[in-house]
Amino acid sequence: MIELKNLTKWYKTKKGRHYVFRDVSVVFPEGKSIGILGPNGAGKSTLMRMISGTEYPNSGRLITSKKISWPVGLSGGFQGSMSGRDNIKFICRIYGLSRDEIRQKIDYVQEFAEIGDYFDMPVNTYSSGMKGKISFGLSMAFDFDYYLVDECTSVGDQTFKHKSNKLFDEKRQKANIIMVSHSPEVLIRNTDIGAVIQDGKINLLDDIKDAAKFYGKINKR
Amino acid sequence: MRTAIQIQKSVVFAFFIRELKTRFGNYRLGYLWALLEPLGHVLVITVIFGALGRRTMPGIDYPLFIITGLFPFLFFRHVWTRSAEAVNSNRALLAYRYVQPLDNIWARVLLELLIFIAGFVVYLIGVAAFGIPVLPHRPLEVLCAYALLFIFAIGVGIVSGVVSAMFPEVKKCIPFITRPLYFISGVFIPLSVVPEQYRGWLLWNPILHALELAREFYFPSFQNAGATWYYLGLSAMVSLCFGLALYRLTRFKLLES
Repeated sequence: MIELKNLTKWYKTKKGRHYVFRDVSVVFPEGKSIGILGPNGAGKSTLMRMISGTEYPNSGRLITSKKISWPVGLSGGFQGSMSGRDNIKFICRIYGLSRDEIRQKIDYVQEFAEIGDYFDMPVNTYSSGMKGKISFGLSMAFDFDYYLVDECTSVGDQTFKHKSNKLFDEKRQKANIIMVSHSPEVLIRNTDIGAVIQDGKINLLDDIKDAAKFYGKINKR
Repeated sequence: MRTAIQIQKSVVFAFFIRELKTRFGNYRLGYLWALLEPLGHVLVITVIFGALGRRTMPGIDYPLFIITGLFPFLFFRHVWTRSAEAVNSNRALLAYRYVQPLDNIWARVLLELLIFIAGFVVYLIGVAAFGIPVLPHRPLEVLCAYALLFIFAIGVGIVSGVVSAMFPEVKKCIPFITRPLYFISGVFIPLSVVPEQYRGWLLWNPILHALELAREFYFPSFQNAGATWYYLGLSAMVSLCFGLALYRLTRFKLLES
């Protein structure tokens, strides 16, 4: 369960406070994957960052006891002069893993990404596809209760796409996802319930299809 | 569930290893460089100021005198300059929820501290090899002076990290301050050789206080020309409190991408 309690979030702008959320209280129920919909600039990414714990509300609280991932496929944190292996070790250390666990994760990512010798070369030398494979594999190597997905999940060539979709479906047997996308079809395929962000409020709908319809209506206006 | 302190420990440890790798990993004999840099300083300074040093401080080995000031000074300067990049260059890592803006500063401070201690010890052994007695006269006070400088450096490091993250231009100005600082902090001359009317000005600088005090208790014959524990301690406290308060006030801003 993830609960937002009287949550308010604003950013300082030149014209004063810009409110993204105003006194929002929502409970995302247990065991459901959530699709987040909303017009550009409505606060989808802000909500994701608050759920992932990297930004905090200005007032109110976000309460959860679940393990929540970093945004899946995140590769901005890689240090270019270090190898893929060392970068993975670094993330594992942040999460306080033991030596054996780290070795396990490395094997997992190495096997999944299939980038051969590049695995021990500086990340600077990687193509964006290779970076994507490493970071996606790394996200999958960890067991979270919720995986956060922004926009598109698939990277790389066709066979890899197939492989990553399969893996992701497996993960979802045990875990849930929270997904932001502009495409209602993608959300309907991947999530159960919908959260539509509109004018600083969150409308929670029990069926993602209804949420997509609702979003279609407000988007047309 | 991990406790907050366990999380902090593992994040700082992760950054520490990363710093170690990026700092030394790219060069052959990388670790040796940390020791060779001060050697250049010691040699050049001894050649230029050696005669003056021996004349004004009879009974004190001049290279040893430099070492007692150079290492803590370099420590301070490195903490300052390297902290300036610490917050900003790792913004992307804040996407991992356990990473906080200051974690990289802690790791860098820790690394600089280890370089300071290791370098100091190696050089002491080097000087001792010439048959010169190297151990401090009153070690506890020496340690105390260095510890206060350490605290002072942490505060300065946090301020420089936070301010440079918000105003990147500031980073460019740092060399303008650190270069002259080298000459007015008493790295290679004791304050007592400075004419009395100028000492008051130089004594605004807390680093000079730390070095004078450390040397006063390191060498029995060293004459402290006006440095006080009061000023050094106060500077350390003010620096640390100001740094932490500044971070506290800006931390949400620092987390925003």
